[in-house]
Amino acid sequence: MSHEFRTPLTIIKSSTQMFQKFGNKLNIEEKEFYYNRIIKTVDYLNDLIENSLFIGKSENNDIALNKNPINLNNFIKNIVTDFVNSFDKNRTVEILMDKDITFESDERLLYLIINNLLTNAHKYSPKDKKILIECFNEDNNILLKFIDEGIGISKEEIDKIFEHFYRGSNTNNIVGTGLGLAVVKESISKLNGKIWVESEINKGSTFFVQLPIQ
Amino acid sequence: MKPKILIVDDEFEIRENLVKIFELSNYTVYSAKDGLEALHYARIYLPDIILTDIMMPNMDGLELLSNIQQDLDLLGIPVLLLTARADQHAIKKSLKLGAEVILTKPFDIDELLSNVEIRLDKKRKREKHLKSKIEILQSNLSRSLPHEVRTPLNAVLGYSDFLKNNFTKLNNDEILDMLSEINKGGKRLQRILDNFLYYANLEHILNTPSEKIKESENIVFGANKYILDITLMKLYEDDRIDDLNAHLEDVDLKISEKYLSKLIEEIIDNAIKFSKPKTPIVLKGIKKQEYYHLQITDYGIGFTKDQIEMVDAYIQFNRKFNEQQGIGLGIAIVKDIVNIFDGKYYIESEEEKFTTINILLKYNS
Repeated sequence: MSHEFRTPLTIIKSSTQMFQKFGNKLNIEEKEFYYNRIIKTVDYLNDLIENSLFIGKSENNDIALNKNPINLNNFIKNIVTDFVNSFDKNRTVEILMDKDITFESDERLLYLIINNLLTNAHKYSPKDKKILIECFNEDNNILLKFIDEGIGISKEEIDKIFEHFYRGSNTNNIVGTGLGLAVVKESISKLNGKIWVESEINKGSTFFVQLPIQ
Repeated sequence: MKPKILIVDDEFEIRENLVKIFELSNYTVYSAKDGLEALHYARIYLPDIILTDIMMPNMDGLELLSNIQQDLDLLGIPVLLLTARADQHAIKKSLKLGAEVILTKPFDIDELLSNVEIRLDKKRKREKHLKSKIEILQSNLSRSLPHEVRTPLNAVLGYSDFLKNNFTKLNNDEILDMLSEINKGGKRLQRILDNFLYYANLEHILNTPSEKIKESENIVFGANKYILDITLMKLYEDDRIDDLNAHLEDVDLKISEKYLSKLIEEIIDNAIKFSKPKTPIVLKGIKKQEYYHLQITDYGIGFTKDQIEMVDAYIQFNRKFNEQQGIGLGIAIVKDIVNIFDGKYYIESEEEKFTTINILLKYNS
């Protein structure tokens, strides 16, 4: 675990010390570059801490469920709108869903599930490819699908991707804490739901989430 | 010339930061994303130092280190390890494999730079020392070897020329005399060349710690008898057995048989060459603390103080006055053998009076 924290800390420390020691030798572009690197890494470290704390709490049964009626149509639309506005205005995210799905759930956990899966679909697929979110009401269950046309997951690795800190061998230059899917899985299990994946390398992945209505 | 550093880390941002830091510190920087790539670059660019992460895909830092230690071209390159994990097992293993130092992430730039600089400085000093040793050897070789070889070679060429041109005018006895001189010259040449190769090999052992350790494990049991046998054999060849006066305490010496015999042969050989027949050659051996003190004394031409100081590889002196050959090489061989077995060596001498070669070797108590 310490390894996962030391890596971003090393990036932050070496970047800041570079300013301290060689500040006068760096040009403006270089300074800009390292400032951004520091900010990005601090954000990453923050995600890492949040995710770790969440998993820790969840594994200790320290998360109290707070269920309220939620209109899933509005809920998903809001997340997608926020996401597109803050990350990539040109990204097409299509939503296909039954009308007026309202059910009792924990808003915070539901947000973690949807936001993480949407973020993954975005991170692991080319910018010009569309992301499709489907949502249906089936036999007293909500079935959510997150469909991307991205890098996919190999058959050998598909069972490991929910493990803590596991990252697919084809995710090399894509930033990730290796905890996002673990957070999703924990959240779904708190809501008594299920998650599974279908994927093909270089074609894309579909994450299925099933949540009971009662 | 800028020092060359190879940086190995699978984390892109860390690798890139390290590259920048060392570029700004005036290094020529190469970088690799794993051990496999690093090994490839190391063989191409021969960096002065390698800085590597431990945990990496394809080939990790420890495997890289062990590959470097097995490659004679890369063996001398200091390797510094960076790790994000205080894994005691990995640390122990890497030190065993010959890593210079292990730094923990997040590292401090100043500490990192000074660690690299210290290792580079050590490497530079080692290389400078080696270079100067090679230069001395080269200059001694080029200065002395032709002299060593020339005298016997001249004898062979001179006598054989004379024989060829005057063959019909010479009687059988004269021809036989000349042939034996040619034969003697040939033998001298052979001995010089043998000793030359022998000396080169000793120098190699002295400069290779593992070889030195291997040799130092030998013991000659009953070494006093062995020394006496070799001495008698040498004296017999020159008809000087009667000149020997020997007193050797019983001892088992920490040396290998082949080197002990070479050591005695060379010293006795010199004693014979530098003293006249019918003068005594004294052999004495006593245990003194952890050493067996062997003294070989001849009552011949002796050395001056200056000459004793000059005794070193291939440096001969008084050539104009003495016909004897090979003393420089002989003494150099003796010194090297004594050094391989962690012994001591010194000469006591007075001109025109005596020479005592003192050899102190460790014994098995």
